[in-house]
Amino acid sequence: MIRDIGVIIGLSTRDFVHELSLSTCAVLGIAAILAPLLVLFGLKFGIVSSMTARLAADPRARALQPIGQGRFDGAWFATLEALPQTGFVVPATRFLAATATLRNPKFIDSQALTTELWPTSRGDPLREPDEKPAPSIDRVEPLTYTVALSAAAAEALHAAVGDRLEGRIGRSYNGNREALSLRFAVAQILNAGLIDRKVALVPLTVLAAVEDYREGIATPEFPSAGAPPPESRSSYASFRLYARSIDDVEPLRDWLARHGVEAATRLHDIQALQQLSRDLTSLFLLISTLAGIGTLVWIAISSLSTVARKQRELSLLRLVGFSTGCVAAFPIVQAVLTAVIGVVLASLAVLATAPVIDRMFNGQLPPGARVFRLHPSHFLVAVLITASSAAAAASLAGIRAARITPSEGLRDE
Amino acid sequence: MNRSVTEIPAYDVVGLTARKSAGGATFELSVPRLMIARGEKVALVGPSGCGKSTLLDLLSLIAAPDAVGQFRVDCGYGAVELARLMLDGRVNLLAAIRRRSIGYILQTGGLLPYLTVRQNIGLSCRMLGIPPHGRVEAIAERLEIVSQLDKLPATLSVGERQRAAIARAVVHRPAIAIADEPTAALDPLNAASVMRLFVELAAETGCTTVIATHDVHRVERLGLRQITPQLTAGESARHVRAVFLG
Repeated sequence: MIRDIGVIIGLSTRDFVHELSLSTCAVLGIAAILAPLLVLFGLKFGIVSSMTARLAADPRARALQPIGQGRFDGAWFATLEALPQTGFVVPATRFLAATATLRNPKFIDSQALTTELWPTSRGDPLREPDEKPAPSIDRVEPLTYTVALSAAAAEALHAAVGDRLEGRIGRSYNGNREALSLRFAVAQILNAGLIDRKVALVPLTVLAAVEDYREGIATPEFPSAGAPPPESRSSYASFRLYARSIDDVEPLRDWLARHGVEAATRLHDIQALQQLSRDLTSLFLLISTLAGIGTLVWIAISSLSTVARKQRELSLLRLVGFSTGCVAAFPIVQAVLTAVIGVVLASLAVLATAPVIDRMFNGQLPPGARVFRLHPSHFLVAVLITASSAAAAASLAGIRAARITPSEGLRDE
Repeated sequence: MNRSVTEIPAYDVVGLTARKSAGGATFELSVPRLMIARGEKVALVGPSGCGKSTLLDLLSLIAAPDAVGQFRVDCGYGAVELARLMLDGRVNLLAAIRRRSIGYILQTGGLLPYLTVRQNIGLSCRMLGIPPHGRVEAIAERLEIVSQLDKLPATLSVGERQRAAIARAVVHRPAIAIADEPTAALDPLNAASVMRLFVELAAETGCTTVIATHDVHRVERLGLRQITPQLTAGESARHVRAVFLG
């Protein structure tokens, strides 16, 4: 039986090759339907995955920004940090207290710039958007710190990495206006687009000390007059929080909500992308279903006409003693051959056009992103689906072939 | 090697009836009794339309009878009763017997157009798992078509095609060879030599042979036993009954 199937596959293949022009037409027909489908799928996959990748790579998409201020103590931060959805969290002080006036002494006539101070620490996604370790931001010596500048701040200050900036923190103490001078060494300039505002990322200790200084509390960090500090800082007004992945934003937002903290997120963008992905998938399925039905009907009809045309040869196969199952396999083998070669041809055509499509969208994409993408497994799936559908579509012809009795079709009468 | 005709019947058929109707006309084939001994050479002789082909299709297990009392076939492995299988339409069991033991030669077109002559002749061997090499060449030599072996059937003359078809039908040495007007499409000269070669080949392998032909003189010369049907018209001229007895 297995030998018979082997012989039939061989015979069917030989016949397929023998009728080369007809077979070529059939293969081209299949390829002509499949190539646009593959292109469409590649576009859908490419667009969605590059948008997803872009969103996933953008730390702002993972940010959860508390609205308003509160009192968050160490235990609260410990709990938040321990959550599996939390990627990065650092406490922050009150917004109003967190500013400094910076100047770049490299330029004599440079303007003083009021800069927001944001806390940072190791693992800050704004400083490591591409997972590369960032230079540490810390105290270098008393009153001298390394900082990371936002692109806007760096531009306004004409600052480059290695520049030393002068900083002034002003306060009103006992009715007098006074100021503290600090020095900031620029260790890193953040990628443009990450923060639109003029921001300097500084160690949390600096930020806490600045807040204390402005509130008139003596701080060991800066030698200045003030009320004696409490034993240890009990709470912070705010925090900077990033989810581990874009999928963790929603649960983390819900966790915060349960703890009475409302947070602004870009969940809307994430959900819009997921919706777009679903919509494109539905569209693709709709189009491929229509094309698929057409193809199946076409394969079914052409297989049936092949069986009608080859009635005599199929009769001869029955005459020499092939079983009905073997004769049924004859048109099915040819349909599968047509389908598989058609998919391969379509894939080659698609691979050849992929660079053209990418070039068309070149200007509208971030570097490295590709609008058209197909995974090798996509081709494999295309082959399997097409081959099995072709076999199914040709099975009607197979049944017709099996019903041919050896005596009909053998004689010219 | 000329094996003699034995007493053991290759076919022993009793009470077989097959009917055909087309366009209001009916034809009934009736075989009250037919015995063909193993190794025997039989010619079914009669005009076209007398039911020769129908009987050949029944003997080669490709057509089903409407009724049959006994259909015993001995292909060299002992007699088997096939009446039940034929009436029940067990076509794949019958095909398995046919592939090993029955070679069928058609008037024309017994070759697959997409195989070379060599591959066509070797087809039955491949199906049976017999290495075809040597056998194919030997039989081609015998039928004088060696130079055609690697051509496609379409490039051969009618006579060469028919020789190739004979080679294909008997190369695996079936116990029974059945031929339906094997030389009708050939010119007389070719027809004589092809028929003679076929009968000789069959005789050499001891193969039971049944040939349908309208050419009485040729089969007489080759010494075949002749079976001629008795044709009777029924109630009208559109109803014909052919009785084969032998």
